[in-house]
Amino acid sequence: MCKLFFFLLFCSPLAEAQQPFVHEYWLNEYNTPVKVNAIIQDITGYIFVGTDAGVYRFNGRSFVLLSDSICKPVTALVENNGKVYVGYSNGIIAEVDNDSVHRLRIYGYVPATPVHSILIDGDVLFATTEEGIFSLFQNRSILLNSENGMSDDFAYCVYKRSTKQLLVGTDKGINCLSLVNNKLHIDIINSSTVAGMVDNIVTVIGRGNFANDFWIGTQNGGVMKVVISKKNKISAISAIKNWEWGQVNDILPYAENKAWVATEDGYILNIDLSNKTLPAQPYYLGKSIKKILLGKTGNIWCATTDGLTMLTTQFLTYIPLFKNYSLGTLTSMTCDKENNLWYAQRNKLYKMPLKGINEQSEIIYSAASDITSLYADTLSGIWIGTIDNGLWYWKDNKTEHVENIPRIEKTSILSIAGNKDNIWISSLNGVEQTKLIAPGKLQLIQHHSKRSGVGSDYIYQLHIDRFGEVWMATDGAGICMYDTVYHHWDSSNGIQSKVIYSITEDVDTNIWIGTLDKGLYFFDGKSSWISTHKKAGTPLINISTLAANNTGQVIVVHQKGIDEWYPLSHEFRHFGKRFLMPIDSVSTVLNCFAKDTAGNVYIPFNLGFMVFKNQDSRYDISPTVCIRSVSVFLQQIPEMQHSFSYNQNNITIAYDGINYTSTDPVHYRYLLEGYNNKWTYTDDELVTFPQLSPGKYTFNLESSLNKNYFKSSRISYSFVITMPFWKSIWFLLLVAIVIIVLVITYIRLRERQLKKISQLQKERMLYEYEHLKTQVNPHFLFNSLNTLASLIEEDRDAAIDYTTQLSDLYRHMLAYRERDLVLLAEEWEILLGYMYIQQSRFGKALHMQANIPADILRTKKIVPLSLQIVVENAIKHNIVSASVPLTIYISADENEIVIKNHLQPKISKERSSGLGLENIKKRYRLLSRKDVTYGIKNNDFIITLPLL
Amino acid sequence: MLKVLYCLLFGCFLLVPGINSAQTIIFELSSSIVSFHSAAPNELVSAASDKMMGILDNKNFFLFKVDILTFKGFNSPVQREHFNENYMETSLYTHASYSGKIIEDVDLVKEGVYDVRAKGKLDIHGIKQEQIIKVHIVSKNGKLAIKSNFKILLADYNIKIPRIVSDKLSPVINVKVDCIMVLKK
Repeated sequence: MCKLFFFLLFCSPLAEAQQPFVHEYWLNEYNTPVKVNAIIQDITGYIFVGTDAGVYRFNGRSFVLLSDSICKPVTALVENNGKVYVGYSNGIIAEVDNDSVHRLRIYGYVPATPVHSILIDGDVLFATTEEGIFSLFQNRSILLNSENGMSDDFAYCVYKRSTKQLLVGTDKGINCLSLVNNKLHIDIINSSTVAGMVDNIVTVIGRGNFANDFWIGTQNGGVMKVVISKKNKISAISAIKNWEWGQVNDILPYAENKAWVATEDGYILNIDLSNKTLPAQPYYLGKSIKKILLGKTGNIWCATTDGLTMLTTQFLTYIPLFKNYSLGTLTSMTCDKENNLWYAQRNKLYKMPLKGINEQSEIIYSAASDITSLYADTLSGIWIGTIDNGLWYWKDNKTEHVENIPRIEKTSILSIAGNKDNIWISSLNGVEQTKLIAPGKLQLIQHHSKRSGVGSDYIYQLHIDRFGEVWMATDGAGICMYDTVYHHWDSSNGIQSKVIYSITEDVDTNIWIGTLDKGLYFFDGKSSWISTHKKAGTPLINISTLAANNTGQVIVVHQKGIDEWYPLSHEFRHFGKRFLMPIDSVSTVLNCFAKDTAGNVYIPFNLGFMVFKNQDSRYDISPTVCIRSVSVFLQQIPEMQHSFSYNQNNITIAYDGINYTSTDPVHYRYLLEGYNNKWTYTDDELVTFPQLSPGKYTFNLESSLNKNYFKSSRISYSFVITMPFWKSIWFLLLVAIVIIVLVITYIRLRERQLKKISQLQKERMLYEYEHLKTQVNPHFLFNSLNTLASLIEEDRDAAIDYTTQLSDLYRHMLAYRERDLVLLAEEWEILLGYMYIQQSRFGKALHMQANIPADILRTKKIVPLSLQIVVENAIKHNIVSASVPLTIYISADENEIVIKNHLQPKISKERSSGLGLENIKKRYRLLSRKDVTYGIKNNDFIITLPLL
Repeated sequence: MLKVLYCLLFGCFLLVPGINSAQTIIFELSSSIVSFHSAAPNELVSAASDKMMGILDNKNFFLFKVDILTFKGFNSPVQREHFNENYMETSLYTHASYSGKIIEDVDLVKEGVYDVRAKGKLDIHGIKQEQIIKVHIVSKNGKLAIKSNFKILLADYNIKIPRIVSDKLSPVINVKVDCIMVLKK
């Protein structure tokens, strides 16, 4: 964890030059230096710091050391399209991927000396090494050096001047590499070829403002600007003769002809080529500076031998004052047209020329009582308002008391404002509108007071806007504006306080006011006043001074420090003891500030005057956010995934706010579209959504410094949690179809089954009917009874036996006819009974020869009464007599039973329905696929019945 | 004895890129004082050695070398011991050397006053760093009077200052070299 440490460096107590505020960042432990060699800022806003210990990523609050396997000092960093490339001291080139650094795969020549700088141009990477300039295209490398015609091997820097020309700084001048007719062409810029080149060792080449110029920094000769004329004449313009600040290590051009220069000897210089008369103002940092970076928020970052040093010099400096200065006695300030700063300490008036260097203040005048307000008019006269002693005029060391307006002769002056020769004076007796007719001579034009329509006699501040309208901050009557009539705004227009202390106007002509107890308001230009407290959620502050510079920033001095508002982004920088700046106290005197002719604002603080500078470019101070990782069930997913399965529904998103304007934590708010549509406000840098149901989600995240999300940048991350497959429509449809098919099939099968059963029953009924008919066949009965009658006579015992057999036969028939199948053994018993009865009738004329294995009898089944019917048929249709006996052969195997008899048909046929065999056939067909076959073979009638 | 030294030096020369044994050494060091001082807020430390060796050839390639143990001075013998044992690790890295080339094209045999810059690898504490050093050379009667001041960052050479003595040892060491080289006959 880095520890923040602050200290101020004074060049010398006598030189009162403008100083930047300086803040030291230690990368690891406080006071443990880590040598920084390179520094860049990527598009998301992270600052990457290349050090001897590796690459650190900095978000404004903490440094994260990226893991790397190379373990060598980092000597160069470059950013291109969001990718950060790293050069090492042993020639390795790598790229940053999330939290780690991976070396690039290189086929071909690999450098072994430190990479001094890297340039990315489309697909090509150029790196300067001590063995020449190394280029890499699609992982293949080439080295260019003195063998290819360059003036020297040791390449410091590389700069792309145009699509056709590459500049390489070496010990022997600049090598201009270009392709002419597909051949490498090298022009050399050095002291013998170009006039004005003071030094040949070119360590840095900086971006120019136009295509035909660029900056160069040298080892010993300082900074130069090289200009190439239309006739291709090259000339070098030295910025400062007799350079004495050491080797130039980096150049940071920030505006046309303006650049910051950092040197090996520890100086930072603001070079302005357009204003050469101004002597260079070197700021001595005291340690070697390898690289400088202008951050997006306007801070200047220096890579030093100790760590990082941040300078505020682009937007804020201060003039330290030592002699005769104390914040507690300072009562008023102003700045005249010659850029002299006038300030009053009690009754003493001081003048300090703002020359930019060695500002010295001198005492000009001592008033009879404390000075309350100062105003410098167009004639270089100073109007001095005092307590109880009225208004005084100073010009050319002469002072006079203004006596022609009795109302202000012996009273306290609260505020003086002017516009050309109109001078307005506010006193305890209202406001005097006057005209400057001669130096020191005022002509009263109009008196404004409570009675005339202002609403109050006490006006704390008068402000004349650029349209000539006069704004008055009244005590008790809100804000009053006078053009030719009085306009009032008070609580009905949104201003909660009736006491207004301060007024200012920003560069977009918006009026800002500071109130008693109710904070800061700005006017929307129409009718209502907007409270920054309500809008931005800032705490209510007691404002003593409001001032605006000429580039849009509004400076608010209040009891807790100083805020610099950026109205465009609705954010402010806060300066106070807690916030990097050593501001122990600010003035509580109302409306104590000065504004020079350029528009820079001077605000007093404990060490002197802070200078809120006009800003060369529009800095964005609002914090940015970056999603660092997405985790599922706390397991980080390696790559930004946008689709998750239904059971990956515990999503954790970690993010990071990047902010360099305050050390306080960044505030966030997030909204997960598809989950709930409410913003959640938090200071956490992690959010978990457990048990997300399937659907589409968009995570929106915004950050702010002061809980004001009016115009904050937003970052979004969309993802989808997919339906489980068993909830998807196609699956449900499929299941429905399968169920329907199954039901239909079942119903069909059942129908078929029922049909089959009913048919079987029908057949059986038919069969039973037929059979019963057979059983009651009168012939059979007649024959049987005749046989019985004869038996009774012959043998009583046999008759009894016969009768028993007959009744057994009928009983069996009745018992089995209900069943579909019977065991062969059971059927065989019926057949034996039947044969006994028939044999009793026919005697030796009827024979049966059976050959059935016992196990088949026991195991196999057959349609009931089928054997009996077949045998009955045989007896019925054939001659059975003593001369022609009938023998029935029955044999069986595993599958079938065969009944065979010799064909000896009767001449007179017994009446027959012919249904017997057909009926058996049908019944078999219903029960199995096996068929009953019958036919005549070799004059034998053969029936085959399948065994089941 | 001198021959052995030359052989040793030549061996080093072969490591310097661009130098081959066909080039001739034209100047050799005859007398020298190399001193350093550290100006920390609480203590000034300085030491000097007159045992530097050096050669310069006709292509302006050079090699200077000094045995660390020959530095004398210091505020106390304990300090010298710390210097050799804790900071310089003299048992491991016995010598400091500077080898390279003078960037400017000058003919030092010609009499005159030259302000040139030497660029080469400064090898201290086993770590080689590229360093440019400004040198003031007066060539007269076949003698070169060489004067130079330069700074060394201890961090560059992996010489760590314990926090407890951070106010007694400056992270930047000033080095002063004053030597005479004579034309080899």
